[in-house]
Amino acid sequence: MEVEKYLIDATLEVFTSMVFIDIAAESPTEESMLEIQPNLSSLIGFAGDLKGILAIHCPAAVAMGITASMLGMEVVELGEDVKDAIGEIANMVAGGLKVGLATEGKKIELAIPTTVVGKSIHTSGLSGATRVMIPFSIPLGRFGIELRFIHS
Amino acid sequence: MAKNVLLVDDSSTMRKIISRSLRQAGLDFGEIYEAGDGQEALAVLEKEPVDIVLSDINMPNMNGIEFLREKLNRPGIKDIPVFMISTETGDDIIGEAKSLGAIGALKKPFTPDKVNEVLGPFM
Amino acid sequence: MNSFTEINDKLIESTIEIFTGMVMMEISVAGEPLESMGPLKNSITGMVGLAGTHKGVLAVHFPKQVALAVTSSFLGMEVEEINEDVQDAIGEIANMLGGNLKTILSDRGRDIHLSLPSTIYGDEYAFSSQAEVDQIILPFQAPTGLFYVEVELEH
Repeated sequence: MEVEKYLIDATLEVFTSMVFIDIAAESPTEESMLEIQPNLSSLIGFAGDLKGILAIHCPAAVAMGITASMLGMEVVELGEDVKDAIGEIANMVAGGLKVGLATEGKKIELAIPTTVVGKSIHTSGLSGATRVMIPFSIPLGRFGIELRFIHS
Repeated sequence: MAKNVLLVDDSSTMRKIISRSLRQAGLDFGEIYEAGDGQEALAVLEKEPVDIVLSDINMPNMNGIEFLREKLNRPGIKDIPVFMISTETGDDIIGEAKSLGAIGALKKPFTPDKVNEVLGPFM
Repeated sequence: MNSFTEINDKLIESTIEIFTGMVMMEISVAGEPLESMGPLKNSITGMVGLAGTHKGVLAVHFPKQVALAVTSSFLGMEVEEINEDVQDAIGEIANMLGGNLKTILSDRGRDIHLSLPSTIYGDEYAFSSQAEVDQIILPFQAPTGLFYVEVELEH
């Protein structure tokens, strides 16, 4: 199952079509997302042939930079625009994962994106799930796409 | 000739994102009007000179499908072209939208090229 | 919140049931449902997504002290800090509450499936959803403090 490929393809597609920022995928890693030092994490759950949760973890500057580019306007704080923009990216990347899995005959339905903003936030899931963590670099810094899932 | 567009989506952030995408596509847009749901959209269409509508589907008060249905009942505005903005929700909703008069759909994420391809003929 | 007035009582009942039956902790409703919550400090949140005919999220927010007490009671072991056991316990509680919510909503003819649970914790964080949702927050009293069950459902 090519989950890593679907995640990378989906993320690159979202960024090249709607974010207008240079982006490069790094290799999938075992590293915990704390290396990214996120101030903002957007999560979206999914269920069906696979059950899991997809998360985007961003440091403040990266989240604001991505939002500024998507909206074509200045962004100076982690406000509603940033939460909505990164939440929308999580939604679209999960949508791309859904399309990718469908090519293998696997069907999933998405829940809704939720965003957590704060100082030193940690995210974890039930131990025992498969975990994929892919860092990405943009000029402003790095962010991480994290997927946890089990087969239903 | 510059065309006026109406963006209908309950998220103001989403409306800004779509505005940005339209500008990146380089199409000749005049005024960009905004509405937060189908109800507001109908009010704008009755009042302002709108040439094209881009509408989300899931919205409170009056969603995209209900908006299309109601618009058909309004002689002054029923022929203004409407394009749906969709996510992974699937093709049956788009089918329903088209049967109610929507011209086409832009599935997120969409590129400036895709915007050109879908909206270009109507500019 | 129309979609909630009918399920509120069932949600409260099933939360109390889970805590008395599985966590072995006495809890009670701590007042009227809240419309919103401010930032959470020194807390841990367990959440699970709902997908299907209706999309949404269920989250349960515990201040650290309550989370430790809940974990100790649930797992029958002492815990001093938010570690993997606490994360698993809180995630499992979110999962069970989600399961009950699924049953409540399914009984009303909705076809809903749960995602995997996830936990978030930190010194200070704000939790919000980006969809157009109906939202309810139910406060509960546990021996060591208050905790909150939050449900968000797309229209």
